[in-house]
Amino acid sequence: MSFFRKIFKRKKEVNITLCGLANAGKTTIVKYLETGEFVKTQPTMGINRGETIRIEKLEINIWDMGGQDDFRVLWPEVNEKSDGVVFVVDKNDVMKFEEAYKAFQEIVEHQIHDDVIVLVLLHKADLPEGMDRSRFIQEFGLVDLPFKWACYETSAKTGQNIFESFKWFFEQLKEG
Amino acid sequence: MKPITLCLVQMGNKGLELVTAYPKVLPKKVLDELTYKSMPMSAKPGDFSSGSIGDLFYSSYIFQLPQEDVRHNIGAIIAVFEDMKYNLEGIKKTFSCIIKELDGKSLLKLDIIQEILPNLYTGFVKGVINIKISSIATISIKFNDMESSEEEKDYTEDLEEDLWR
Repeated sequence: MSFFRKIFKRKKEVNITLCGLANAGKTTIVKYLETGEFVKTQPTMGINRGETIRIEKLEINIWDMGGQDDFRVLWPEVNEKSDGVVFVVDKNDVMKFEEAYKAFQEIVEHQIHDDVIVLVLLHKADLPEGMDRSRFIQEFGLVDLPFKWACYETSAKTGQNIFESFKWFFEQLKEG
Repeated sequence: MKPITLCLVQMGNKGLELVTAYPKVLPKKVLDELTYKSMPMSAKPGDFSSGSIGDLFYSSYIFQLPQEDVRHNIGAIIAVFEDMKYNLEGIKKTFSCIIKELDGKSLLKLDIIQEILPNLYTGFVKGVINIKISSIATISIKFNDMESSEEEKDYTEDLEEDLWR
């Protein structure tokens, strides 16, 4: 294969980070992407480097970040090198909504570059309670977000919108 | 193989937290550092790690704490020594065996480990671990004093037979 063909055939490598409070469901989402099914997990110790996903023209490195307070100091360094951020919010954990909002604002205001794609997942949507998507978008300030963003209600137990949301996300990364 | 203390750590909402230490001989500052270092980055259940804090040496075994309706948690059981001449493999096998047996009997719970920690410590000191964890279940492990041994031995050779006798 010629040098030029090799260049043109080379896949674009991107880094994506999964952030969110502890127990939001970040690792179960990664596991669902890897296996196509719900896997019960345990807390992430710091950072998990997930499997590299290869799709057409794209090689995606997943950085799954621990959500506990002590591990959030690690987020800026990884997010700084990220091409896309997935922020996961537990739809039912209304008590922690304010904390999640602050953590999200910290990311979008200080940790990521202007051209980063932002995917917000209102997760654990299989449970009946919790905030609905339109209210969440308003209260989380997504409408004013100066990034390319999308918000989906997802569930790793039922698989609801997991592939759909990441399809959108990967399409944006491919275009970017 | 006489540890100066045994510690139990779990993942809490804010990060790693010390559940208990037995005996309580170490200052809070050392215990805080030990808690922080007990699970290295990206640690998974089944991992075993060792390190030092000042003049002390420690080995920790990381395990999954099964939960029913919510996600599982992770914990670590740690032995701290004043001398680095202790048998790492022996500690690892002892810890992993105890965790495996507790898990097998659906007894892998923080309060149970907390309860058996003094017995476990006494067992390490005496060289014979004999822990009754329920009316029908007893963990029995015999091991020689490994500090003076130059040759590595398989200390779990008779473990399977001894357990749950």
